[in-house]
Amino acid sequence: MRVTNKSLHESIVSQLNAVSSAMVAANQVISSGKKINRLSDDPVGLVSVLNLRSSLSNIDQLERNLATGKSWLEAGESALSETENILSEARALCVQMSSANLGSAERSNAVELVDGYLRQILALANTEVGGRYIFGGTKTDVAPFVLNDTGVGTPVVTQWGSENHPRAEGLSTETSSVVYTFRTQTAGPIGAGAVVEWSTDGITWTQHTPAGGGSEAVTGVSNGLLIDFGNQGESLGAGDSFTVTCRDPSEEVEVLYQGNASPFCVKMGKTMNVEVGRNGEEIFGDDGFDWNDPSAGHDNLFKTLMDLKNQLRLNDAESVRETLTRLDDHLDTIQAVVSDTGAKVLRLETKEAILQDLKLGYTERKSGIEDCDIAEAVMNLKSKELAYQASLASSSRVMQLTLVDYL
Amino acid sequence: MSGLVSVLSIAKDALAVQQYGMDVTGHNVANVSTEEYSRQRPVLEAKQPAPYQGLLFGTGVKIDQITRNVDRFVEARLMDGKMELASSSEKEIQMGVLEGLFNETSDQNLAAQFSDFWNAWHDLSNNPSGLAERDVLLERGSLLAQGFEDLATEMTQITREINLSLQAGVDRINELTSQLAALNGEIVQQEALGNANDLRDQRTKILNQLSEYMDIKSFEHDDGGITVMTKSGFVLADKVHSYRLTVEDNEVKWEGSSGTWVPITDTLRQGKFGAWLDMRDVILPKVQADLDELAKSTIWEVNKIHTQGVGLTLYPPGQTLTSSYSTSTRLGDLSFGERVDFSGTFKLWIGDGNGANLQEVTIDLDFAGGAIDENSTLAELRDSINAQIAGQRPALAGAVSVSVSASGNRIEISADASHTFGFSQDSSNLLAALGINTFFTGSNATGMDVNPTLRSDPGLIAAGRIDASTGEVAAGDGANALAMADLQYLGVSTKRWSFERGAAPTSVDITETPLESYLQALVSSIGLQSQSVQRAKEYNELIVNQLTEARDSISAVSLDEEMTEMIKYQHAYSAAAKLISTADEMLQALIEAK
Repeated sequence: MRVTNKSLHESIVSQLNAVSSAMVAANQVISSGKKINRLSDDPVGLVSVLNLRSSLSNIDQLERNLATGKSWLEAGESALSETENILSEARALCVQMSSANLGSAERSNAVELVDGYLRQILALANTEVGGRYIFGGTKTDVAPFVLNDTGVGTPVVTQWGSENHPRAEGLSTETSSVVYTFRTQTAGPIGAGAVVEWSTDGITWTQHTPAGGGSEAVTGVSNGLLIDFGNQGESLGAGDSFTVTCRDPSEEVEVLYQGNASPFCVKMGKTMNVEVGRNGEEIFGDDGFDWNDPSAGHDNLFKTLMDLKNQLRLNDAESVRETLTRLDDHLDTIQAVVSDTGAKVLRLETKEAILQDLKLGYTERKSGIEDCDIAEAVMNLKSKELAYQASLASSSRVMQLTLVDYL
Repeated sequence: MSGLVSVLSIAKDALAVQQYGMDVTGHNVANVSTEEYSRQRPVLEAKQPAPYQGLLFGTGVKIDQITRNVDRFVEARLMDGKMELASSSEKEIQMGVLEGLFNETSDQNLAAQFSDFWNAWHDLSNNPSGLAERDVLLERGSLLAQGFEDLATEMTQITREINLSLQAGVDRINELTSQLAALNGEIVQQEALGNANDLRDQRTKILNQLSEYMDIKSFEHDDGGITVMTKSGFVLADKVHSYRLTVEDNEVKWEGSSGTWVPITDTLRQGKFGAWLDMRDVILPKVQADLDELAKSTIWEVNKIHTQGVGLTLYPPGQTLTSSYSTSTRLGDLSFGERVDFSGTFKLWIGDGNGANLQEVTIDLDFAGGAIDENSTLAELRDSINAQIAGQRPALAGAVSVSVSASGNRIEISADASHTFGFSQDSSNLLAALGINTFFTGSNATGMDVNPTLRSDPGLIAAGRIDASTGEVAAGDGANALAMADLQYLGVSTKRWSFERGAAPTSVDITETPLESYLQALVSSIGLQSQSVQRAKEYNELIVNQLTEARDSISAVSLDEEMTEMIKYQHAYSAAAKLISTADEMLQALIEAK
């Protein structure tokens, strides 16, 4: 075969190009640390890399979600454990105060203690994480539990039996809180002709004969208070009593729930949301719960404590004893919520561990596809360099040969 | 006639012939680097013998012709090889650019923007009332939209550049074909005298240049002229005539002898034109269509979820929402009009001036007093909704009203100065199709953007949902954001397009594919295409190198060979000179013998 100067020249050029571009590619692998530098380097591997990359980004995000969730759950857990402790103390106090050995002075003193518990629990019920309330459902921007303590309000009747007993109406215009205790003197239906007594201190009693059938003012009882002794056809025993609480404008009588019923959730995986916030009503009880009609819902913890306060104030040891079971119920509820929260924390931690394993696995797979093995890459570069040097050397020798030199 | 005089005459011819030989060798040496030069050889021939005294005496040497060493078969194969190489190397360059656009190997790319976008929804679901999270989400949404738009713009730019190249290429082709025609004339003229070697080389060079642009074939006539035509038979140059090409409306057209312009775009498969047209009509449109499809699905799926939700507050008093999609005729002509379920309903909530005390109005598209279907007009839709508001909430008639925009092609929903409004439970997809309470605007990669209403008040990003039982809007409600975050895992129905030259595009329905998987498949298909183009180019390069070697071994100049030739002619010249001096001596001897 004739080898002409042109083909010699062209073959040298194309060989040098081939070897040097292989060398540049080998160098790029080392300097970028990646086997895949362009889409076309490994289109199939690249799909896996893209997939793994998006999974990894998703895992990072899920870890952030779990961290948010955990901070909520842990804050909830500690707030509720604290509530549980306070309730236990309240229960102990309740046990102590139900003892017949104690007098009205001791019980009055305990009112302050119970009030303290109430306020502590209220503060715990309004626990915030990052400025957001955790026990208000998804209404995280407003304090879920609010003391309703503004201005005069409707007098509140606390009684036993069915709801068809007397009611208090109108506005109390008392300037300080006062509890009127009414008791029947005679057995039988309360209504026209029955005789009731009322007292504010349990010592001095004033007699009153209801006209019956409508709201009436009771002589001696403060302005604004109307009591309806409507005869509902039910009989009472002699000595049965009810209390009417008139509120000092500065003293609270109720705690109202401002949140909603849908708990706050975080996402812990594909279509998997975990509730980390709580509907506060499920923990602390329903607004306006009526103890006399337990089927209506869920006893309200704040109401229980307020009732306890009144009972202590009235020196009503028997009621205090009854409140004990209500406190026990609350303790049960809160313990259940605490253990549920603990279980959720555990679930999140398990998920976190799984995510970490996945992350490790994905990172390794991704690295296996797109990252270069430096040792191998350096060896590769070395061999390409050697080939380049060799072809430079041989080319320069071959190029110089010409017959002209020998003529 | 023989004798010493004849010897002198033979020697004289020999001297001249060796000189001519030296001439040709010199020409070869001088053209050692000339492209497409084929080495030339003098063909020496013994002259006619002359009879003398019953014998035939040779009368010396003459040059019969000067030939060029060419193998037509190899030349033709080489030209074909070069056509394909030009095509694949041009395509490799273009694919390199396209690959660079989808630079998915780095961390700044569409896939990463998708991940960031979903993560921003996750973060918003973790803190639905957070303004920072809302700002980040807007930013991520804008970046995603921008990512789509940048890619679309860049691809349009590539198309534009290809069209410019086509224009320039056609000019060059016309220049080459007219040169060919001119050369044909000269060659025919010269070959009446002898071989027009150098002109033929020049013509081969031009043919080769032409073949880099498009697929051509040629054949030679007896008189030395050639006819060149495209592979599909459109004559570009025929002897001294050349036929022009032009680019009109981005179509390549051929000017027939009758002056009519015939479109030949789809017949060009090789050379740079083949590569450009493949890029412009097959590869780019596919990527663009798929990207548009992805953008469209992303916009639709995100909007569909967004329209179910509500921001931190309702749309404030005095707010007017204008639909982002328009139609001046029927509802079915909206960008997403075909996706509306006209048997569905949605709820419009009207609140007081503070966004509280929400009252619901269930808008039923099948409303008895004004049912809406794909053939309804915007005015009919307006009347139906207004009638349903007035029917269900007479006290709120006019508090929130629907109207048709002044331009006549958009719907406007506006609240008066003392009412607010929001939406929920849209089972009809009408809101998403109209572009009301949506996250994105636009319907493909180019027009995609974040809804400007949200940009001006990030609080209106619908992270939550109106509680259907209580009609409340809770600031910490991330239900809609959670649903949105789930979208990244959910399969959606899309299409994948394929384009072919000279045929209508076809599409395959893809179901249950998450949006990101769709993108990954698209990116991977670009990578695969680029890889196969690179391999084709390497293969063609190999073929062309081999053929070039074969051609060069036949036609190219070897200096060593020419040096040998030179020595040969030199020695022959010396010998002829010696012949003269010897004949001279013999004549001297004859003269002196007198």
